[in-house]
Amino acid sequence: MYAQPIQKLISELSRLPGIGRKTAQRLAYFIIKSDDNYAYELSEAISNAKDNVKYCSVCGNITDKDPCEYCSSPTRDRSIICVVQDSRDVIAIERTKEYKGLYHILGGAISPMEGIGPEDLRIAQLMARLDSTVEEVILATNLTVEGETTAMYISRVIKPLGVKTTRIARGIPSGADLEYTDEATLANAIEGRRIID
Amino acid sequence: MFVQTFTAENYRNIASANLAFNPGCNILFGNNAQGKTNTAEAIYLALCGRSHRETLTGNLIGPLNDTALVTCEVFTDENSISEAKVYLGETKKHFIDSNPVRTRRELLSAYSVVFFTPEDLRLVTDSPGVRRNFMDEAISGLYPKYSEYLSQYNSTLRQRNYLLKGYGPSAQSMLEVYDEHLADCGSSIIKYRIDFLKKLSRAASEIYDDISGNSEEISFGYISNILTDNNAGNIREKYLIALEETRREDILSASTKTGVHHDDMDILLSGKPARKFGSRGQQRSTALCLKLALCDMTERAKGQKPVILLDDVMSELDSSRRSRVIELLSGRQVFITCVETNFTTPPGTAFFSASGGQITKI
Repeated sequence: MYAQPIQKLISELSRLPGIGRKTAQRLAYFIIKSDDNYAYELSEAISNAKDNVKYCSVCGNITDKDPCEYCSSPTRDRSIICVVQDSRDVIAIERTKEYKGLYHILGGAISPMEGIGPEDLRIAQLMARLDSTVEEVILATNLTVEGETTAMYISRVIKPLGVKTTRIARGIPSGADLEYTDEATLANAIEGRRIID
Repeated sequence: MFVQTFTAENYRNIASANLAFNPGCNILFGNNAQGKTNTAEAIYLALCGRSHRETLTGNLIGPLNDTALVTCEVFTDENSISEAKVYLGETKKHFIDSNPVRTRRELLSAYSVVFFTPEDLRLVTDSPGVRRNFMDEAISGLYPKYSEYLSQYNSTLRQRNYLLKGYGPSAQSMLEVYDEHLADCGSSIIKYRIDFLKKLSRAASEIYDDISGNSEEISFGYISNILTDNNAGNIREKYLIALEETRREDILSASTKTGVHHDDMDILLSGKPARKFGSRGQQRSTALCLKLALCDMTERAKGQKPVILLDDVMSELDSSRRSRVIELLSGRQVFITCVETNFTTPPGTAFFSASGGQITKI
């Protein structure tokens, strides 16, 4: 139906996450109809990103320099490491502008159903980082069964080292009305309540 | 609460329906396969998020085109009107007041509906899975936190079973993590279930005498493979010990042999299991009593009178029991589907005839 080069472009685009067949068609036609430079700029940007982006050898974050900006920064608090599943989680936490410690990216969560075990994640690299300067490890994996399992597993392997491990809190989003919060979230918030000093 | 208006388009054999219901008793009558049960099912689907007999969305869509729509306008006990809508296409989409519903929990906390069918007899006679489903569905409706524990438990169980299938030397420490997780969720599930059955027993004992006409005592107990001595103290610890004890067996069979997913509820008539010792009539009254007790509990817990759907249940009861059931349900909106209307109905009852997918008010 499509000319061979367009067909190839559509099928490559539809391999991208969140892109279905129809969106891929729309994107392909947009690229073809745009001025000549755009297609070259786009393909160059893609291959440039692929060539120049690497994984930080310390924390596993996606970066253009090794060690990454967080690991090499002299102003970050080196006594605290926040463990997350994915590089995107780092961006989310950075947006809060509240956390000043270091990160460790696991590259996923334990899930036997998907064939992911502890040895497939960067847990050994985390253990290697836990020297005497590290006082606390924050486990900020997702609040799913896989994320919770991973957090529990890591806390068990860290325990003998005597480093404090904490888990991020779960509860009501800021600015939300209790009235409109779903019951399970509200129940979690009540369960995880804290004393006001 | 009660369903004020009901519209359906291309739902099973109902091409189009637009009905206004009575806040009290509504009788849907007609021969078999005319659309009575489909109407009741559509109401249940729109308000509770699932059909009582069909899991495939495609099978609920009629022959006219590829989509179906059911809308119920509900008058809630807070004197407001809420619109529950379900759109059936490639997938099923629910809306409350035009806002998309993300989880079934939202529907369960907004509306209460209890559905009675002749298959409820299976609650007494069938395997433990049917009774577990009944407990899970009922408790989730009453306590939203329970459905979260349950879904976490089921996901953890699936992951643990996968781990057991590919069990290697490094899996030991992972198994311990999953056991902790199962013990956390499982012990909470047990507490909820025991508490639910205690309350259900209290509600049922008042009802059973009325519908059975017998003086037997009805009660429900929890059968657990974790709590063998009926002592609910420190369930989590017992759970962990039980998982540890069966670990070898679990590894060999690549499945989890211990846990709340194997538990059951005991239905006792004067202390004897109704499943083994009850007559067919007693079992029928017991199943009906179980659901009626659930109505009472739902009403007390949510402060909202549930909508009752009785699908073809009347034909199974003798005339005195029929009138007792109608009396017990008074004050709530009731839908009764039946082939013949040869029983006494309360004053002001609305009658609807079903014929070839056409539902008409008489």
